[in-house]
Amino acid sequence: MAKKDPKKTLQYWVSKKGPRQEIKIEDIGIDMFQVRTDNVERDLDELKQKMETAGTNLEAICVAKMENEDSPYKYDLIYGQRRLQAATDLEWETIGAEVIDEYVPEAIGKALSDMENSHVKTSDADKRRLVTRLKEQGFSQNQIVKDLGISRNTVRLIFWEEDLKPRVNEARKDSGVSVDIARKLQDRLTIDGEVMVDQVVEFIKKMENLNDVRRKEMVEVISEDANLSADEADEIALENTNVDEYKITLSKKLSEGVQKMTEDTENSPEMQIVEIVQDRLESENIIEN
Amino acid sequence: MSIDKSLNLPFPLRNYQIEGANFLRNRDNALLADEMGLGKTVQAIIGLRLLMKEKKLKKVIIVVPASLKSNWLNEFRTWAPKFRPVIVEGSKSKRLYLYKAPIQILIISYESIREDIEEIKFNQYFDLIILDEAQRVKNYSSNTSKAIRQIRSNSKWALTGTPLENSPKDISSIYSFVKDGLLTKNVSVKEIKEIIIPYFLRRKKSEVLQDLPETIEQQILIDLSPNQRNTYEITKNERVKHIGNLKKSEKISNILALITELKKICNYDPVNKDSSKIETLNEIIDEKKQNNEKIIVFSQYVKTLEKIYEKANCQQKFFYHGQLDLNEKEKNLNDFKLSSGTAILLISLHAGGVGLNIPEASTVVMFDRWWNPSVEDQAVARADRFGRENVLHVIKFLCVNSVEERIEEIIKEKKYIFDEIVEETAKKVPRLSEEELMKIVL
Repeated sequence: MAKKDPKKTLQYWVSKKGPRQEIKIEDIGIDMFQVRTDNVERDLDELKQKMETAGTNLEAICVAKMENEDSPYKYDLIYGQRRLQAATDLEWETIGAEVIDEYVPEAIGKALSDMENSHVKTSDADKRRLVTRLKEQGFSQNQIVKDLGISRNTVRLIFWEEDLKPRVNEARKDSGVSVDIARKLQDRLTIDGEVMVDQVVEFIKKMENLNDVRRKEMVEVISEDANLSADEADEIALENTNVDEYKITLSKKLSEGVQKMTEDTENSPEMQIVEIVQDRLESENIIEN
Repeated sequence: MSIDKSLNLPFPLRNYQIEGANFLRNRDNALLADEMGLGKTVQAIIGLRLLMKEKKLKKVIIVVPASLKSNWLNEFRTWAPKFRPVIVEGSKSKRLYLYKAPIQILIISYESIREDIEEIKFNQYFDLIILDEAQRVKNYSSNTSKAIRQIRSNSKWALTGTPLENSPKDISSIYSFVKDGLLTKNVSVKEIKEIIIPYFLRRKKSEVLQDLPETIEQQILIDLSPNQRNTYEITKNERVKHIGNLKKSEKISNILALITELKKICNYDPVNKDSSKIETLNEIIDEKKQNNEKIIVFSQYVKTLEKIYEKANCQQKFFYHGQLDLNEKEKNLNDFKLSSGTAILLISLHAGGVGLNIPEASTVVMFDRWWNPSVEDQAVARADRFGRENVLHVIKFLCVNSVEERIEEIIKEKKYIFDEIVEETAKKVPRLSEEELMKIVL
């Protein structure tokens, strides 16, 4: 559960960033937040050229008060290490920075750093790392959605996947079953707090060659009777499935979903996935073109 | 105010450790050569913290054997938790960035510094360099020694339990790093000893007995070598996949077999014939040779013992395991006890875990970890017997980021009391569920 201390919100810490000011480069260290170290120097010459031109108009880096009182540095870098390195190479004495004049908790500093870097590279792995880190710190799904602007669906799926047992998750990936379905299966097949991992994996493997409609139906079937084997549940699911009815329901849901996502995330990676799914559904005549 | 309080230390320092930390703090050039087990690493970290408090150090580099990088990180976590040393590793471009970045403490292996020296020798300057296991530069003309001498630093500390003060050539080479020009050619051993006095501190256990407990326990965290790590990961991934396809009845035995196999790879990589543990053991043997100490090495696996026998840097080696007949075992044990000079006795758990009485040994190395800590205690007790005159040094190896670490975590949590037999056969029902066992692997 998320802690209620207002200092725990990212928004609080973002709001503590002071106005841009020039600070001495020799006062900045890399310590607690240990910002990224990969590819820092890639294309650094190009950046240096830009910085020479831009001069003090350079976008500000972000630093916080150094928590370790024995450190020779006054500030701990949160983000902007490429700019800092370029400025150092150019032998600048000062650099424009937004200073958080408080001791910033480690997880918050790392989250701020990740957020900044996610402008540069928005890979799923980065998002996952960030959301996972915040989840560990007790942030709720809502807080993360609100503070970071990552889609609710993405956050939810990452939370769910984190809750999957490792073997379940591995089987899920191998069989191409969604996190959503795997999580529901795992929930349904948890007895007295213990996940029946073998059974969940058996169901997931059974689902490998089934479509989503059948998979969902199987989840429904075992919700009523968790003692069924995967084969038995599949048989019943097949009997229960009214294909036409499902097509209509699915078509409606997808259209609504696509419409919503188009509004929210035009040109985003999610949108591209939606387009691919829509194409596929159209080609299979599940929804009309 | 005492050092303990002013630095807010988690445990009180022993008197000789305070002396050692102050010795380092007050010198730009120093060789701390305490006997192994007296806590050289701790003293160096405290010396470093004292200087940090005076804001005297902005950039420190610590050069260590590759297998001990994580061990240093761990010591910092204990003794200087506010400091965040960074291990210099990865691609060359990443390493070169790390040298330059405003990071206060860097930890690097001898191999990496040797590889990078051409790029950093002119444009990197450090406030302090600490050389761990400094006997690695005892050969003046080796590439490693040459590289180390080219690192530019205001202060230089060397740590070793093998000071080699009786070997003019070796000690000259180490001092050519610590304080170049201090020892000129053709000085006698006696002259060397006098010249280095201001820069040299060595205490033996026998000299600080009043400060020491009867048994010193030391856990050494070991990094697998890159080759070992590769074999470990490949084995793990392939077998986990295979286990996923097995029937339930076959799973637990297969997971247990995998845990055993991964533990063996932690001991010795049969593919690349590589072992960080044996490398570390050899460092220990070298140090123990100074006092002709006898060492017992315990492992669960006879094959591991055979590899240690093959690779250990010691003239006198003896086996004691179940594949030997009673007479051979008796003879080996007696030869070990009566040997003069350093000797190692390689004992398997089942053959020598209980019943033996070997007070002649002053060091016990737990090469791999038992499921049941009480079995380790019984093994240690072989040497911790009436008749022992010196402090007993117990060293436990633990490979980081491996099944060994996970087993250790579970043992620490005291959630389970393990049955040692759990690794031996699937017929016995283990007390961990399949899921819990799999967590150890993953």
